[in-house]
Amino acid sequence: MKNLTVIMIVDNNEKTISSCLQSIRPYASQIIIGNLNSKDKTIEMCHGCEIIEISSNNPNDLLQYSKNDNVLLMQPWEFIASGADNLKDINVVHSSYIQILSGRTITKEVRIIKKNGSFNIRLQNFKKSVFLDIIAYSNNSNISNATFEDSTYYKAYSLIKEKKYDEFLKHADQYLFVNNSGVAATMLTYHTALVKVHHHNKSKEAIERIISCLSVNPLMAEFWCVLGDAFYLRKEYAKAISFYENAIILGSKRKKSDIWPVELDKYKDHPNKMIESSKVIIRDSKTYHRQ
Amino acid sequence: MKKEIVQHLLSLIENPNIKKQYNDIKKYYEQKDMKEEAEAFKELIEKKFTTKGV
Repeated sequence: MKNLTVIMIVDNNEKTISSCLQSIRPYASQIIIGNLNSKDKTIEMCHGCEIIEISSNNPNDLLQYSKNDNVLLMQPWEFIASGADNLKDINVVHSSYIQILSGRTITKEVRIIKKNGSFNIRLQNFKKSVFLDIIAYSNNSNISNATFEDSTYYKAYSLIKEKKYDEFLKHADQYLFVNNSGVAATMLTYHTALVKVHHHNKSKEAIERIISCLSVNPLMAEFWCVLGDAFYLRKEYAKAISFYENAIILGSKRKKSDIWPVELDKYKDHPNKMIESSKVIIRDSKTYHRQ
Repeated sequence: MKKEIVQHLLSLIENPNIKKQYNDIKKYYEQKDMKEEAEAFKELIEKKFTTKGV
């Protein structure tokens, strides 16, 4: 029996809405569409859905229309890629979080709640939530897929997307001066380390920052890879190899259900490629010195 | 707590191919009862220092 209501807010999403609806229709007895200001064919394509005209981008405003106790929030540019069976006969006791695959990054978001709850975008409470092994694929790859709202935080990430790295570091450091713990702050620190290595050639500062990240979570392959990149930049290739190895081994021990985002290529492809590159440089260097 | 693990990580970064550095971190996580981290470092030590014979 279907006992799930899906809610989503649309605003000119005719290119992606079909695949989104197709992926959730088999599991939802009700689909509520909050229409912000669509001028294209989005609403025409939502046949069989309940359309509510809204003026603010707040999914909680749609909860009152739900006929089911269990509510799934989707974005119109997403579709359920795997694990949809978990939505059958769903009975949410606590809120549940799912995985959102966006480009090569997986984030975790609270997306399923009881009708009388609320989607708290500002502070997602993972501790009280249950992990559901569902992956939604997002066509809207966006590095700022963050877990809470803060203008400095979002400003920093909008700057990194615009490749304004100096301004990004300024805003990121402003944010980190006030907020220096938790997943969001640690990931922002990680991204500042990435910029230091790859755009400013400042390996020492990157290493200092990434040690702080590793002290919070040593099982993130992403962090070990930046360390490897920093030592590769310093031409200390033996050390770089060691850190890339750590990325592969420790990254393999990560829990699938943890709430940290995942950059898939940092768990195998990138460290393996960099290990090979480092070995070639070491070998060529030895050959050169023998000659 | 953070200061202690940072010290261990700084030592590891100085000498990332010495088993003792990883053992110190593993023991740190064991003492803090952080089982998953301790187990991950145990496996790291086995893979890194057994297969290579370092």
